[in-house]
Amino acid sequence: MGVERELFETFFRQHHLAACRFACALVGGAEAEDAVQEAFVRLHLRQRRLPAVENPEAFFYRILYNVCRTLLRRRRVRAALAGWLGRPEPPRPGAGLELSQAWRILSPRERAIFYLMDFRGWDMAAVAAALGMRPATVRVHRHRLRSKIVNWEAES
Amino acid sequence: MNDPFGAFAPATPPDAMLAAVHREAGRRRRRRRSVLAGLACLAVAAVALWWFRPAPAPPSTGGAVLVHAVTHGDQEVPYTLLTLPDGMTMVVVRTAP
Repeated sequence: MGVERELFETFFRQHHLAACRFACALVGGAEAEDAVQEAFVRLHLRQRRLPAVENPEAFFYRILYNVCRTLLRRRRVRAALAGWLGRPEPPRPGAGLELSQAWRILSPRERAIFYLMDFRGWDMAAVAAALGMRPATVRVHRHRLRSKIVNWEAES
Repeated sequence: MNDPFGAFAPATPPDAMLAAVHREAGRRRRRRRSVLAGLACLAVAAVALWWFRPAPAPPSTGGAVLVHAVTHGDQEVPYTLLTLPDGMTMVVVRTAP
């Protein structure tokens, strides 16, 4: 138990900041820390499996990516409900780096692929393992997101 | 390429977040254990209730039969209670010819 805890804490200290930035890229600054904390809690509950996991970083980023998608889904539902009730959604507390317009045109999956490959330098296999898809699918999404960005630049 | 989110600095210090993670994980673990223990108790109670269930009631005989003694003349004689297929009970007395 002690070894697992120590391993978990080492992993936390190594990846905390990078995970916050990744979550910020997906959900924005206001909810990034919530997402990271939730992902680390889920990892903590599975920490016995951590030594046996082949790529702990990809394992953790898969959890974080799923948490971010859940947050985005909840946000969409909240916005739809607020629109349906005719009440504007209250502003979320917490200042942070908000998503730029260019970043908003990408889907969460494309944001994750773009961020991990182009800014973190992950290779396609690692991104595929982290996001739970095949490398060929990653390649297709990357191609699509580049087209989107080129189109957006041409329009603006 | 430069990380566009490299300027993002979390407001919560890492140590505070780590403590919160430990606390929350412990709370969820305890809740999970208590739910599992509750389910186990329910299963044990269900098995115990089934195991010690009351015996099924005997089929009704169509009327109470109470025989203390059968006399033949001024003598008591042995008798046998015979349950008929329709639920009635017949008293069979064997007497000397």
